[in-house]
Amino acid sequence: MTLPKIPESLAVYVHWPWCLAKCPYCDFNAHVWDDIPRKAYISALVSDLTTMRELSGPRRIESVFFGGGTPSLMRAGEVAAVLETVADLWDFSGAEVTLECNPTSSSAALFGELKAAGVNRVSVGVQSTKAEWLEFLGRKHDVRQALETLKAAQKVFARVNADVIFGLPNQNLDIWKQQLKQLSCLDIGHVSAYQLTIEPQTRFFGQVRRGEWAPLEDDTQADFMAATEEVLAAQGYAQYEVSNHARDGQVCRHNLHVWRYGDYAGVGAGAHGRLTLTDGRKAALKVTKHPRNYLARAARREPTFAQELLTPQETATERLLSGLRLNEGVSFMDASSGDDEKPAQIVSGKVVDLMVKSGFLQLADGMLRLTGAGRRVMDGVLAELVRA
Amino acid sequence: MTARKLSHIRNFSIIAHIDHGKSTLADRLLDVTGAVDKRTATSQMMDTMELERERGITIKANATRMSYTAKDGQTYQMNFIDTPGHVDFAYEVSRSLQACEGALLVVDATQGVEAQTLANVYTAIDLNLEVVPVLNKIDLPSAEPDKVKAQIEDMIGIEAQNAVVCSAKTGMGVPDILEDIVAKIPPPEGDPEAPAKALLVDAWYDNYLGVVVLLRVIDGSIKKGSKVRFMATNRQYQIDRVGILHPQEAGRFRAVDVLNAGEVGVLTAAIKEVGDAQVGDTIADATAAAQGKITPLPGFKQAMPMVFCGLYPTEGDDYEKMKEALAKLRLNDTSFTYIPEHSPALGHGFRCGFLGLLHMEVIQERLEREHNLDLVTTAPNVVYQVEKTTGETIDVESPADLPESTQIRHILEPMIKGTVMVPDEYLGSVMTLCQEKRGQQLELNYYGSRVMVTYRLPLNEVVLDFYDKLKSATRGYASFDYQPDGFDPGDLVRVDILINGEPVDAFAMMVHRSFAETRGRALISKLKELIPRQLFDVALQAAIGAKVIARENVKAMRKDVTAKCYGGDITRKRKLLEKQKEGKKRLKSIGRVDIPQEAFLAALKLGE
Repeated sequence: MTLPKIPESLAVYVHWPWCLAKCPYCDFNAHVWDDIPRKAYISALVSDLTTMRELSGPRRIESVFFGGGTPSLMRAGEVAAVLETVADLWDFSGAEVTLECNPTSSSAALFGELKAAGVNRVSVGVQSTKAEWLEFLGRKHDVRQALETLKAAQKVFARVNADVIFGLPNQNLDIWKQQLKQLSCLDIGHVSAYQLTIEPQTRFFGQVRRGEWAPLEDDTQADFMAATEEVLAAQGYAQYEVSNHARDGQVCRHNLHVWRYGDYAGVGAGAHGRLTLTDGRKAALKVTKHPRNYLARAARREPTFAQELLTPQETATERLLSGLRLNEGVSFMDASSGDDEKPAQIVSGKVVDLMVKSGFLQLADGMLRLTGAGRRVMDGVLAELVRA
Repeated sequence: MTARKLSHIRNFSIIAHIDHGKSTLADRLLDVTGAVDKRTATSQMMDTMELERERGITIKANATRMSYTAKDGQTYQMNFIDTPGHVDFAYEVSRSLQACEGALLVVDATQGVEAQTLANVYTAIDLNLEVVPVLNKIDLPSAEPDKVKAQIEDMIGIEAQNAVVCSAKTGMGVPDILEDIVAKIPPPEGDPEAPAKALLVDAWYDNYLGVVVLLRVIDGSIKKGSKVRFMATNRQYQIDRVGILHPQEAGRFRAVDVLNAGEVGVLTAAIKEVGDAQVGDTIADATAAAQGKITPLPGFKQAMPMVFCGLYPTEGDDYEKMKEALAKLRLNDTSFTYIPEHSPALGHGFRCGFLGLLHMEVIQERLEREHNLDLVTTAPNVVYQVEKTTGETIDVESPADLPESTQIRHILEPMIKGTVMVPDEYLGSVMTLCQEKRGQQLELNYYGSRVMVTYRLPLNEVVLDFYDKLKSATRGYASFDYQPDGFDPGDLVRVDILINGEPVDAFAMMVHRSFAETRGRALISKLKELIPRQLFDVALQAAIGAKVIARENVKAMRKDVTAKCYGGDITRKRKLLEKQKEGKKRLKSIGRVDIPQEAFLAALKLGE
């Protein structure tokens, strides 16, 4: 019997829950407030980090990721305060530090300050390089601003990502391919290409339900996904996850760590985390979602997050569902996890065989991975795998 | 015991079409005679089951006693026997009617006579009952009493010019009805001194009293402690309790000392199950019966299920719960049958037999509502008689049980005689529908602007969707009634539905050869719409034996992946997967194809 080992590394996710405007497709925990209670929020983050340190014990920090919301609304001093706390609590040397930027709140000056604060990678919310689609997506910036932000970021940082969205209603496949080529010519190291999905509690959801417009058919979406992979591959980007593509040395370490089911601590309103506790059990941590409640709890010095211990089966399921998102796949008999937590424990060998024969899965060198076709129907494959 | 006593009893029931006001009139009669305490009176006092109240139909017989002092100064005991009000319960209706000397024929003065009423009136007339017409809803501006009176005379052949006009709603005319009952309905005949003999009208299970038997005493008297024999089941009992039914008593039971000749009441004895008390049986003094001195009452029949379907719990774990629920329901309703059945597609369930479609719906609804079960229902079918080449004849209750075609000489299908009443402008559509359904016209009569048309039809066609089609073809104006009419040979085949080459027994159907292709095609097209795209192509086929008559293909899905999946989404995604896994249990899977419940319902409702 192998007991789960307490991992050496830890990733930190910091959530910034405010934006200048709410995008109609976004269901993330993002709010538009006139006055952001910056001071209180930063001190709540610092206090959360301290609590996380008590749960995690000493670790080496693999990465810190500032996500949102719009973390580029943070002041460099605030980012620095968070990073200093991380460095005080854990071994912080050599960590990747990413911050998500919106072109409406980014500038060459800000990038310089962020770099000084310790940020070494930025992810720019470009979303589209076509004016009509930026407007459709409710973005408050134009194409020129988006591209200038990218350029400014590249001047400061060696590692830059561009976020783009595809699968918009009536979007033309050829024009999409051209956009991707255009982006790759800018010498960006990393592209996250997300298919537009219609999520509940967004403006798009209401519009679609009222029949104002229809998202692309699934078959067409499949064509877009295949084309995206093909174009980016030709431009030297290797897909390493369903929606993520990187040139050499540009893979996002933070995301890779999370999909490999490494431990991560989430701080800030609505952040999630997964931590192996000192007794070897895996806990799911979830911070109070609404910033107002989060801040109120923090002010009262009440716990800001809920903790749920995962069963070995739940851990195995999560390991499988995040690992299969990666092109490298998931270690089927993962040695670092406890016996019961191995994905092999929760799926039937018969189903794996069938999925391999049907061309959806490959099993080689102890790694279970999806094929290209399998990746595009991953949710269906997962449902089959865990159903028995 | 005197002749005077018999002369002061009136036993009656009410014949009325649904919505023509039977329950309201019954409430009003109870009210006028002071039989119920007004402070606690509800509406539809006589309908005790929740389902009865809701659907406005009576499923079980019921009775109550009223005392009425007439204008002649005499006080009469009036027993109102409430009969089940639907064609599915025709036999039960006939036994309730047999317990009476007269029946009020309540007709909605705005609507006129309907087919369902007609069948029950004919039964009453056949049983020699005095039929007393009453025109209800006379307070409505659209009431046409003269026209309806003429219609009653024309169609039924009873005098109706002096019929009481009333409004059960306002109470107008209700005393006149009571006077009519005294004056027109004859008192019961019987020998109060003879050994006890009674008609078993109905029986049900009460949680406190056990099996309660509703009866009408013909001769002699029924008392606590006396020994009686139920002649059809040949079982003997000592009577525990004797009483009358009253809507405001607990268990509706009000004890009395004795039930005399001519009276209606209930008894309890140590009767184990309702099945031991069969509707129409004769209850006789045990000694006299043993000496062969009692002739059983005529007309006893065992209830015969006419329509069958498979009922399966959606959750396999609910099988035992369902079994208990069926046993409980059967305690109170022996006219439905159930036997365990296993379907490769649906798992363990039951093949159930019902008196008719309404009966099927009622049972299904009670299982779902009172027993909190989630059910998959297969398409209803009828029982076929199959003459095998060996000369043996077998009953086939499920298409899956049909022998190999090489072993079949003939298939005989049950026929019905169906009567449709309809305004003449819809006659054309009714005739077209009946012909489509392989009907053969027997009779056609005009009554003013209404037409009564009688067809001989295969029951199979009727259970499928006849009633729905009739309603839509006549914008709801047609009324329909039927009775069994023997078996005819038919050119019938079994159409199998195959999913990825595997036959799904739950979708198999028996159809006339001429409909096989259209019905098979219709079903698989519907399945194509309802079966979600899966990881693999799904082939749908309809086949007769090895011959494929229609095919469809559900293309494999090409995209099914969450685009974004961050920290928090992992929890969400895992929970979704766990929920799906639960949900999978609720879906029925054939091979690896998940078939949603809607697909089974579609098979059931094919043709709509």
